Amino acid sequence: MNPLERFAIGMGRKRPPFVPRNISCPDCGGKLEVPDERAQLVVCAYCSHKLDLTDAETKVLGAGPPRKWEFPLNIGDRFAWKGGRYEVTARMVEIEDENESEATRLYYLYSPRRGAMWLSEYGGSWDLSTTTHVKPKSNPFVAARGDEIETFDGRKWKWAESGVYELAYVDGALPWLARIGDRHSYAEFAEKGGTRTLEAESSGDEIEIGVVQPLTPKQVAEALGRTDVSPIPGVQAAEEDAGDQARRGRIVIAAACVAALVLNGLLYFWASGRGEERVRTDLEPAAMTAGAETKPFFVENPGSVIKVVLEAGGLSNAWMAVDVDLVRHEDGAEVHSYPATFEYFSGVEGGESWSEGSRDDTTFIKIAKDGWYRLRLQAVSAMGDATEATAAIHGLRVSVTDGAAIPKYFMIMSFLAGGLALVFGFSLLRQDEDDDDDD
Amino acid sequence: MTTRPEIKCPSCGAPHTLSNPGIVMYSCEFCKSLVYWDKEKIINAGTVAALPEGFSRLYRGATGTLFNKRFSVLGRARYAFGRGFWDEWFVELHDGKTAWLSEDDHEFCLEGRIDGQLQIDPALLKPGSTLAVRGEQFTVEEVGQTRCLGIEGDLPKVVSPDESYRFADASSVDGKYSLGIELDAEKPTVYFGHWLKYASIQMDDEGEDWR
Repeated sequence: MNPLERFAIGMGRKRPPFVPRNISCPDCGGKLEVPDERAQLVVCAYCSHKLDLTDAETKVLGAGPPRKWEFPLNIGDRFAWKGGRYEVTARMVEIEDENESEATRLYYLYSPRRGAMWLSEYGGSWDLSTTTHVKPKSNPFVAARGDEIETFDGRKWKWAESGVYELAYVDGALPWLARIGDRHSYAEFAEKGGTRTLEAESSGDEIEIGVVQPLTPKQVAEALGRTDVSPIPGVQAAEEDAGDQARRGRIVIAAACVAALVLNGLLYFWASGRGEERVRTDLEPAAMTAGAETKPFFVENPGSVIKVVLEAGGLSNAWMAVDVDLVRHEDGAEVHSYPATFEYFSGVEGGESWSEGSRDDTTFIKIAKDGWYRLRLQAVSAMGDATEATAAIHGLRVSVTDGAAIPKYFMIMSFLAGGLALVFGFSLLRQDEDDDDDD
Repeated sequence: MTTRPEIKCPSCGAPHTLSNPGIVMYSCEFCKSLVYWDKEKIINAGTVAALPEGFSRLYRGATGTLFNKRFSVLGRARYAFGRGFWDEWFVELHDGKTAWLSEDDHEFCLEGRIDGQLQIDPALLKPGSTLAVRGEQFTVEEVGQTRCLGIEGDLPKVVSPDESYRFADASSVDGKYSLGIELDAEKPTVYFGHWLKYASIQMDDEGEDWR
């Protein structure tokens, strides 16, 4: 056999079928199936005695939990998440300050191919937690209300709560010897600009950092292959958690921004083409130097906007300065004046052509009173870097459109809407990537 | 054509083909004896601690792709610590090189031993303490005593079942790198690794039962 053939696809050994570990309870003789080969603690499903699997021989650790708790999920329930199947192999209840009404129910989700996750429920709100190796830059256990911490991946988190959890109940199989009454410190931080929670837990010889993402009851039910998750008596199911609300809010704002972007874009093109052209004339350089006027044009409505477009088509590596006066035709009174300067340079550098500047100028003028008007123009222009000129050496095309709409406001709105859409779009993407990172 | 060397188990006589010249120990598939050899002879280490089949993504004899390189799983050693165990998978790459994939709670890191002197004071290795290695800042996540529970397949080092040593596990603060420190000898043995994402390893046979 060619040595490399051993590595060809299909040449490896076929995956052996998964076989859960089978044990007998030394106390009651009940047959127990343990999927997680790393399990050290098993609570007998028949007699509730706690069994120690650390060594080859199963030992009885003692009586099980002092009271039964109700759970909407059972040992052995399947949980489908991101292409992998998990199984509930243990359930726990943790309480704080010995207050059983403030109970958090936890489900150990096991997969031999993907590792473990924790599903937890508190007050009808569901969370999914995975461990991370990314560390906070400061000690999370000394943080207090109002404090912020940063993790080494650049994310910022705001202190949410801290305290001490106490284990009140456990059943199923766990990869460590959990004991009723075990305590561990915790500190939780809400992600700034996100929906996740950073959770630090300390049990003395070990510090674990986890990232928690909120799940809706619907997401939990779908992962379990159910239509809903049965509420626990006395616990009101959360309609929608904060994370889902935030996500939905982002989606709504991003969608509104995209709609505004499209609308303003359409309005921009509509405004750009609106109005009726009254004058279009080409002025020679000599006339521009001496001072020229357009034909009179009629502005139909008071408050109408006219669009004045100056185009110096022959401008090349040159500049032009034009004084523009809008005058009333009947008495020559000046209504509006403005200077228009444009320059256009181009060339080839390093084998690549370039250009800068513009050969045209567009100005919108609001006319208070209807009637006849004309434009008076005088210009100078020069080639290259000349800073002064006494005459125009370029011609100019002038056009006037009555009843124009000013499109720049629509353009500004389009930019604003586009920018906001990008911000909220990236925010959604980042949230999705965060969810993917938890794989 | 390359002929791979064959060894006979000193206990049951079953033949065993060595796929890589670096292998110095194996667990006999038939009688579960641990077999190793030195320059003069092949030695039977006794019928102890041959591991049963494992049920993670990797398994003995599996093939797959890791960072665009084909690999084959040759064997593993399992180590117990206070709150569970981890597996060290020995893999051979198609270019003849070998590597270790360390698996803890079904999370993998690709590890390599760091040669040379590293100034590490074992007394300072405590959960939460920091140290710098190869320009990376590491935080110690766990410190404890470990012992080998057994082996499966072929290994490039002689692992004595029940051998025990102190260890420290650390991760770089950005979560990218791992550090495994064995404190068994006069100077620590240090393994530097990269945490792998699920998609970094592609198995030819992922199995259908946990999808």
